[in-house]
Amino acid sequence: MGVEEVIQLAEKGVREKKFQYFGKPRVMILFGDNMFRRNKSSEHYKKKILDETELYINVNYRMDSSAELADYVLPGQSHYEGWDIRGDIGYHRFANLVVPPPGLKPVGEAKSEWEICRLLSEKIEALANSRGVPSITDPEFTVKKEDKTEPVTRDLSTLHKDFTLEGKLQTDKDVVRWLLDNVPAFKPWKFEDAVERGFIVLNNEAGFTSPLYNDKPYHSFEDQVYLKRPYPTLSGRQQFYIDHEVFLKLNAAVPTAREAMHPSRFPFRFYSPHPRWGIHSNWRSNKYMQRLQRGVPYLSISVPDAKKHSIRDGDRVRIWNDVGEFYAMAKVSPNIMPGTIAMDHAWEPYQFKKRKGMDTPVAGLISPLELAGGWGHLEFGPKWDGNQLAYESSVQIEKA
Amino acid sequence: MSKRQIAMVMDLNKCIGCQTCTIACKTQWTNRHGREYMYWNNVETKPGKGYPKDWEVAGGGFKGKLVQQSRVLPKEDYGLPWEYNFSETFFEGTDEYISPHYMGKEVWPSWGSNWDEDQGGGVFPNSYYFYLPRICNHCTKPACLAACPRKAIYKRDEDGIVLVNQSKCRGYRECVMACPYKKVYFNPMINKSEKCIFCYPRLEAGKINACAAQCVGRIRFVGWKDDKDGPVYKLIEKWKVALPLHPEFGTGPNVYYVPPINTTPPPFDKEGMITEGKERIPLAYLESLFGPYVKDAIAVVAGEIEKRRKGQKSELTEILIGYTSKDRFRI
Repeated sequence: MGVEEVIQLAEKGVREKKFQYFGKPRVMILFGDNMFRRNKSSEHYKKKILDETELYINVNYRMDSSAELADYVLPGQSHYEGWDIRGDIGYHRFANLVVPPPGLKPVGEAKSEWEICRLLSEKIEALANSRGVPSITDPEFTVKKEDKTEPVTRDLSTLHKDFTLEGKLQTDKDVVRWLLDNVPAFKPWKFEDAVERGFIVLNNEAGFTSPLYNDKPYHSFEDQVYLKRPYPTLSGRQQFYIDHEVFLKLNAAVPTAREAMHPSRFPFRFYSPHPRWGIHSNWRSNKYMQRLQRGVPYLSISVPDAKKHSIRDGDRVRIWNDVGEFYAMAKVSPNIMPGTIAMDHAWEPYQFKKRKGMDTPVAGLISPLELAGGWGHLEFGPKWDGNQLAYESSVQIEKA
Repeated sequence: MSKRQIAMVMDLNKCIGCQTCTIACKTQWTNRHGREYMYWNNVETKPGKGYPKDWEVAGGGFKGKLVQQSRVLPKEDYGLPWEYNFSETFFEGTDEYISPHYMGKEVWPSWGSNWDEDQGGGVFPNSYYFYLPRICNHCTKPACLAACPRKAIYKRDEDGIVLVNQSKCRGYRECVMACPYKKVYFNPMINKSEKCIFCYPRLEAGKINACAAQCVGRIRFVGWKDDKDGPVYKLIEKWKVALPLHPEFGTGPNVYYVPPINTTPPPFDKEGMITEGKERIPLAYLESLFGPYVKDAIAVVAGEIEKRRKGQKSELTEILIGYTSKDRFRI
């Protein structure tokens, strides 16, 4: 399938409303994500987003690669300064409470994300009322009313009131308290007891696709396996076969493994597993942790490949392909499979020479199957996030 | 010899090399006052050159009754405690990107305490490595103590912990050269030698060593060598599965290691098939680290694990699992 065909496919999907297209963004508010560190084809991505948005606001507690590029940075709180409930609800029996130390004073004007959103909603409500724009319709989202599909109406004149549940939810602490009082899966925990304990035990309401037992491990889809209820698929079974025309055309009617296209000019497969410490880019530039590695971004190459390219351990190397390039230190390791290069992910681009991060040469192509449009149980709603082709890019290496 | 001896055992089969012990020790004792470059606790990948670089072949210890001296290793072999140019990069705009700086100059690091992390030895796909956490061995016959012309180093009678008397030390570095494990460090800021103190202020307050308390893999056991009901005695004397590191150095270490079982995962043959029972880590290499009893220790641990797999009881595997702090620490 050629590029033209893929573009046509995407356009057809948009035209027929088979998946959501929200138009070009004009204003971007970014919370809890470091997308200018994370997203592939970094140089092109950065240019495209910054050129096309009129205003970019970042909420952050540190100067990461995304905060650096923002028009405004709103001072947020770090993980342990605010109230929160953590836990993948539905898979295990515990959820942790994040309780800030008593008497903790915020750094500068730092506020919780909840409070930042609340203050924004307050301002939007005041401006909407003073400018006489009490509500707007949002054609991208629809609701069904008496068999008629209508666009959602966004009521701006009461935005702050709605956001805070009539003023009840002013702070992050209020939200945690409200959740503990109202979420069925959290019952019968009292706020004070949960704070004292630091974590709560979930009840069996918390099961995601099966009940959550007190004394047994969680297994998904018990209803389907034991009670023979249908799966929410077109056939009601665990279904892998999809006879959509695009799937058929790409010989992918059932999940099919493919050889990646690796041109001989760029012979190395480039793998980027999670780092062994750190959560993505958090603490990636911490000096104590960096002193326990190489202090600079490094990658691992096999012994025979290093020999072939006259690369010694500790050398600065250049990695490149047609999409981009970056520089790093080479580590020569017997544990690396010949023909591959492995580099722990989540380095900030500002840790690299020329500020070109490790995702610069990674194209990050979206699978054409993701552009096929709706079919049966495949729905492309607002939460749709196109699967990228894993490890599709290959690179070449040289001593820099 | 001290009246009593406190000791530590580390089970290398359980160490995941997460460096939590290193950071626990670093933030407790060595992140300030000229100690920035020191790692009283470090975790290195074996096979590897370790920390400081090539410490195993540097020299020191005893030859007969004579104390041996190595050269003083250069600071680069310990790794420079570099800082980052955050301010210049983000706020002053004079630097393009953040990079390690030492004494105000940009450096391209050449060594560090965990420099050869996960590299190891062998040939892919039969490559191998394991982690070796190291603290001061608080030796029964400390070479550092023997070498000190000021008698500044002493071994406490009540627990056998080896300490440097800071008011007596004049910074001659004889101890640094004599310690074959290179676990005594010179502090250039105060011109004195410093080392792991086995967290004696914590022990005296009834708390366990920072490295052991924080250990995620629960690999560390601490207790008295003469406490016959304790895990340390049982692992060293009763089951004989805990061995000292480089016993040939002649100092009588009081930190012991349960050696890694060297046949799991098994290696692949030429056809890519798994060859059960064959060694992945060469036994000769383990013997070069832990002495001639490695084979017996591994056989005992592997045998007891096998028993447990068959549903039989094993005191040894219960000890090695170390369910609670109470099970692992008896001080």
